[in-house]
Amino acid sequence: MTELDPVIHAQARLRVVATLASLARDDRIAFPRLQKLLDMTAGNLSTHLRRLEEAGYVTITKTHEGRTPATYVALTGTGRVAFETYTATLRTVLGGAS
Amino acid sequence: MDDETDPAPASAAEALSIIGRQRRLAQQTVPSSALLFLVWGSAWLVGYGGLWLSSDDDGPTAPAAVLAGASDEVLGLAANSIAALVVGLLYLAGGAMWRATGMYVLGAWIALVGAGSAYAGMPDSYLWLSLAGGGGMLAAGLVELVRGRRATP
Repeated sequence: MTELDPVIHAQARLRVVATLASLARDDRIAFPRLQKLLDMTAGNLSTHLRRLEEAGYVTITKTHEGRTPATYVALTGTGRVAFETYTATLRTVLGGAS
Repeated sequence: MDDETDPAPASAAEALSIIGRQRRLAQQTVPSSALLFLVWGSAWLVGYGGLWLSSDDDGPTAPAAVLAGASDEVLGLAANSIAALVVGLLYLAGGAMWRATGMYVLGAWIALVGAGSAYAGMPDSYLWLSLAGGGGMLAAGLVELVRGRRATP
């Protein structure tokens, strides 16, 4: 069996990456919006994002809108390729099993 | 898996179903063009329709234009035509930028309606924008609505 990317092959991180991959290329999403789509706590999501950022799969941009700090999350090119490889591997695994 | 807080999906099939579910959820971030077109279409239909009904062709005139020698009729026609052309161009640009076919086609239609409205004369230019412009937006909204329904089974 082909090796699945351990960074993505974890329930919560897979949900994060799949959501980001569903956005248009180069699109970023505000942290609270992403949190709502995933229904995760802020602390939980931060932990997963940090792990993905370490792997180079997401970029986190911290900025200010007026006086309010705002955080945006985007999938990197590397992240998108990793996700596409991951889904392709899943399909191979499923195809091979039948 | 290396961290016990985030276990691996039970199977490849489950992983794929997680991906599918998130993809559908992420669709919520895409604004509904059907809703936008229907709202704007109604606004044009009612707004320009009201202007057509209430116009006794003696509206206010910009003083600078009077000095330049333009008649009320020319001013009115130019205002209507240019407004629709600008909207049409914005929709064309938006449609090209976001690869939204519906928006692009509607932009071309609105620009044509704007150009055509200049030939209608006053006050029929208002009627033209109300029916062809607003009506076109409503039609585009309905098309997007049907297309959206088909895309999500």
